[in-house]
Amino acid sequence: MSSSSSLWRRLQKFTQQTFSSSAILLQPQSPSCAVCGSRDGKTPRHDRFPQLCGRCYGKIPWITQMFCPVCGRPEWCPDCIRRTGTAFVCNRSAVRYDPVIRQWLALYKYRGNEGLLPLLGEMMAMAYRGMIAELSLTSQEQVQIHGLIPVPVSEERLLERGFNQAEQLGSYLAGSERLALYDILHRTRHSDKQSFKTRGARLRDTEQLFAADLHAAAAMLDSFNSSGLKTLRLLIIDDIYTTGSTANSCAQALAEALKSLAPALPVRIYILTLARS
Amino acid sequence: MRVLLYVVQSGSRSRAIWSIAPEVDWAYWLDRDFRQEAKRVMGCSVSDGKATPDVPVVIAWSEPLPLGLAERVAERWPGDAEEIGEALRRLVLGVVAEREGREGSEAGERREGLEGRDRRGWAALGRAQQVYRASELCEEAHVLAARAHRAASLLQGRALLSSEALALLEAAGAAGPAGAAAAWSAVAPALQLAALLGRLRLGGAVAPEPQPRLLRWLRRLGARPRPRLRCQRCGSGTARMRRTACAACGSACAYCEACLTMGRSRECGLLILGMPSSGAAAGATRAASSPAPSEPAPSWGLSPAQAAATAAALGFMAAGPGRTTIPRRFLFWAVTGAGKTEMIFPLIEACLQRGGRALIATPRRDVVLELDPRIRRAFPKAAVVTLYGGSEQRWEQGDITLATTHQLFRFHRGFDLVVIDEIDAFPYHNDAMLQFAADKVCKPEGVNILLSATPPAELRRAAALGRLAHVRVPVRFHRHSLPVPVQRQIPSVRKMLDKPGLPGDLLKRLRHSLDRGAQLFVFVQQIRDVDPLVERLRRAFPGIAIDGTSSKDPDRARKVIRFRDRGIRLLVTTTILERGVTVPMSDVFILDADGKLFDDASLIQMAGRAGRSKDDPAGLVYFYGSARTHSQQSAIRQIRSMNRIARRNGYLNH
Repeated sequence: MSSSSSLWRRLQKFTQQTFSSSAILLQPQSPSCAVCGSRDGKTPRHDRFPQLCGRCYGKIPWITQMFCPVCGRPEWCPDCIRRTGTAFVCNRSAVRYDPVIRQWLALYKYRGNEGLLPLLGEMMAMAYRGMIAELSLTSQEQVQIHGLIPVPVSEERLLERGFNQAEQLGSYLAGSERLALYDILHRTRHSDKQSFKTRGARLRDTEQLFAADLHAAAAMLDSFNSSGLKTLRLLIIDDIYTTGSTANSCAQALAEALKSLAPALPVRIYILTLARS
Repeated sequence: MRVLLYVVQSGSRSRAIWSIAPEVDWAYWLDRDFRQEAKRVMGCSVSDGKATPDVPVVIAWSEPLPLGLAERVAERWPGDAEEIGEALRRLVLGVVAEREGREGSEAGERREGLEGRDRRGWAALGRAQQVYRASELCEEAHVLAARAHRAASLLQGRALLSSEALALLEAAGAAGPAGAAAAWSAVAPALQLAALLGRLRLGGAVAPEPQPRLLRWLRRLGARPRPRLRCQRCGSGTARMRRTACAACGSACAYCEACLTMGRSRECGLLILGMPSSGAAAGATRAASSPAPSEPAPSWGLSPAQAAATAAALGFMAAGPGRTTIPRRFLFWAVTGAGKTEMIFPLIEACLQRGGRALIATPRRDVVLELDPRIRRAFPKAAVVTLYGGSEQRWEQGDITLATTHQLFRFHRGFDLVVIDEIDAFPYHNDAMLQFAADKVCKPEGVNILLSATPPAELRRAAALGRLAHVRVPVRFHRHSLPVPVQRQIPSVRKMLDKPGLPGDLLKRLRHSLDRGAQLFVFVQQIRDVDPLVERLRRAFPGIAIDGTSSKDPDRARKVIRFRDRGIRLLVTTTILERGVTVPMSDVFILDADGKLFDDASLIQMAGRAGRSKDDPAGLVYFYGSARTHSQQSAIRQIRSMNRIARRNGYLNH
């Protein structure tokens, strides 16, 4: 009798254990946060950023107010006043380049965690929609962007890193907003990382740094239905906007190439970047 | 990275090889003097001219291919192919089609940004063509071979990505001509020559698992078994792979997410394994000649229990390898406070005496830093290298290496003795990566020593069934029994905090411990409970220094020091302090002991904070909870059983 009762107890314990462990399996569990890896499911997740936990989402330093209408900086901006020969209309950025974004971008760019692309791309998409709404409001018509142009990285960097972050962000945006991406710029020489340089050095260094591939630019023009095109609007894509020298150099190269190919076509070039430093 | 694929045919046999510096390969295969000279300098056996047949035929693919693709072709190359050029073309086309057609659906693999992208047809770009002459680009044999020899000895026992190998060679001044900035193009020829002579093994950092022989036959019959990718550095499988478009090789290329913090391991990236030189064999004979100690030297000052355990491990080490191809494992199941570090010193000594190299790996960086001076003091003549993220000695080689467990991934068959501390702790808890890393860093004839106070159930079972050699150290170094936890029933911390005051029983026992002058650990499950509980306790015990800490606390290290110095008398904390902290004369209160975050290992570790010093060996341990759980019972049972074994063996001094 005693042995059968102990058997019964064992069976009871077994079923209890099995059911309690399978109950854990059945509990809804949010996937771990793409940045911090936490599986915290208590704070609700944002619809557009399901890959982030509530805590990390709260850290995104969105730019909600602009001070400089040219570069979209959230504070007073000396660079845009000093710059001559600005070849672009304006820049808009999704977020400030604060320590949080610096870390996320470092994880993505230098450590190669390409799993962060959807997150960063979605941030770009938010900024893109804001930019279109703003432009449409000021010009009283629905503004349409005809193509995305990623800022190129040097061949050396591309081989080392395996990808061009601007091109990846551009591709993501192209996919989510149904736009075309034209990879028509290239670097004329290898330059050191911009982040190690002063403003003056950056400006000198970026002069004539980029050139547009004329064949590719011509092919791009062909792909537009040029009859109905009154103004060509292109959007240059990059990850960080600091002094604007890189973006401006790209815009200059692009404007020159388009001028030589289609002198009569008015071109307006805009810049969209992930972070404004 | 893209590499050049070629086939070298000699007689009726042929072999497919890929190269990171083809000019070296052409010189090696097509210029017999170059090959003889290189072999002579590298210390390989040089065959006399008679045995070598005519200069072999070399047929190369005209375009460089992604490394992963080339490796797959080389692995599948049928050694008896007749029409080399045609066979090569067919195989390359086949592998390209397979990669493009099938791999997207590999189980568990994530893909990013590959949709709608044009994939370049590698096959269309190249063709097979014969190479007739060695290139003039190649350096002179003896110069290149000397560099290859140097690089191979520096890389011996390592498993490094190309960027890491470059950094190591640069640090040693072996990257290229003196003064010039280290560049991959300067290093690649030397590495390639070392690989041709078998001193290095070059492979993809992420690569398919080798096919079992049976499947190779199936493939010949037309079956297409799905290749499963594995990170060759950390051992992760397809579930941790992400496939993205890669500019370095121009194809959709997988990388490993699991070991991303150590630099990116990718399908088209190199993993360079340093192979043992012929000199290593000489070391092995030296090992056999010197007598192996079977007892720890008295100068180590071990207690009887420690000495017995160490003798068992020394006996295991001396027994010599069987016919196994993986290192043998030995488990040290030692109670908390047993003095594990002292016990491994004699093992390291024995290893060094035989001319071997030893590695001690521990999960936490602060333990590495704490161990460093102790090891240097114990082994003043040995070269000690300490490795952790950001360590200055990153590329050095020594007799004894101390490392955080992550650093294991950077080694390959580099050690004769590998000691892994706290095998059940982060980051290896339930982690198959440990097994992979531990087996990989140890030489096949070496020994793996596992240390734990709370081995995972799987190891306990293996030990009980006799499948795992082990020894138990059931008593602390001071030869007193472990404090047995007392179970008390009170409401959960949440409920306690909802009501005013604190349960009388808890207050009474806290008061008792404070009165006897002990330091009090109070463990809770949730970080959010720490601060409210500290408030409540401060009100209950005015005049007593009470504080709290958790993983989120930037002041943690300072508070622990103050707690040790009795500046704080009662510390409320989470499992973050369950291990590695030794505070003289301390009592342990575990609240919510029935909570699911405290498993038996965790409870034993927390209980192990009490009674560690010689002066106060009998600390008090309480399990407070609203229910009695399996984990609590199991923890108490394990503690009691260790005490029983200690008593039976006469280790206790009463």
